[in-house]
Amino acid sequence: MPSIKEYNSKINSLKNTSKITKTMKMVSASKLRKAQESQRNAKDFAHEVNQLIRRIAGNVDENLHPLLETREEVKKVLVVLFTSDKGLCGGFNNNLIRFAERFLEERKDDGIAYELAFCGRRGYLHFQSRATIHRQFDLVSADPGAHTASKVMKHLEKVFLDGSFDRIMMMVNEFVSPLSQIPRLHQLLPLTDQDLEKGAGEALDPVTDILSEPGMEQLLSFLVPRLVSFKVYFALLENAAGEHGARMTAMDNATTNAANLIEENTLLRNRARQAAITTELIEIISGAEAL
Amino acid sequence: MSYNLRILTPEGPIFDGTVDSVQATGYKGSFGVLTGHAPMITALRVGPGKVVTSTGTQWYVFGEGTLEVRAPDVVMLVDYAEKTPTYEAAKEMVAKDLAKDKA
Repeated sequence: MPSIKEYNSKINSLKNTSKITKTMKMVSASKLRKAQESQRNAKDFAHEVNQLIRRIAGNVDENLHPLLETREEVKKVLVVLFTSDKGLCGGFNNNLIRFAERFLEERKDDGIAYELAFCGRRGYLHFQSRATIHRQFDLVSADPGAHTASKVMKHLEKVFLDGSFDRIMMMVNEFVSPLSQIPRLHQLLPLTDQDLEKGAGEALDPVTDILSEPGMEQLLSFLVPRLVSFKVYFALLENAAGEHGARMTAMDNATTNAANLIEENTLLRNRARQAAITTELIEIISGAEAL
Repeated sequence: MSYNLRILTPEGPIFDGTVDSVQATGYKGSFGVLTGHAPMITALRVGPGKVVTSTGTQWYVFGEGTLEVRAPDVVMLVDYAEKTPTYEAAKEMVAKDLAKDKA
């Protein structure tokens, strides 16, 4: 049986652990709130950009911009995986990695070359020796900003337009609640009807007698990439919200477990102390009797 | 004479209020919008800008985006908008931002 001293040091270390997990939970909770607020703001912005595009172009069709064009033959597809940089967030990253593996396994024989790109280290570390890697974007998951998103987007836009890839997909954990994140697959490029808010409201009359600088067409080629950038930014935020939600839950569980362990060990320590006292008493009494 | 200006970025609204004029860097150079401007849509480049309200002048650095005069209001959609204390500070920051983009 371990001594009282051993129990005490164990209990102390458990207390320290639970302090850390409790703090991590609180930090994640506040980061989660921030990510969710950013998502709301980003949505408002995208809506405004969409409205503007529709006002300029009247109705948006495929020929408007090369980023909207669906290629007839899809030979190469890039899948961008969004994971976190750090661990300690339950099954958050593993769920997505398993989802990606299943996706690739199912499409092994359909004659399309899939390559992977990563935002976030966890996914990259898992796949680096298992799949064809296109690129890993460093340091984007931890601090999702519109600026980092547009950097990622510029690269993706380039490889899409120069024909390196015919389609670009994104795999992101959708944030349902802090308890549940579901891996989902979205199409990033070419842009889909949904991105253009098609069918949302009536078609607006294109504005005609309006000054524009540069011309309308150039304006469009300036605005459409903004939608792509928004999608990447939104995915980064979704990923961040999911990560913090998952970490919150994981750390909450860890804190509860630590509390249970502390209780158990305190009981054992008290028992050990009682046993020591009893032994001592017996020794004294039997010593006295012997006299 | 004043009108309502909204400045929106992907990270959230930066400004929403009544202003006397706004100045930004357009495709061909710096320009300003006063009350009663004809409807206009224009692309913006990274550059310094200012917002003049009845209480004073605020300097900003605006990222790429658009400015739309949707009479009588004005809406700016920009990648980012950062407040700076002076025009010189704004210009300095623009130079830094442009250098960063090139790198």
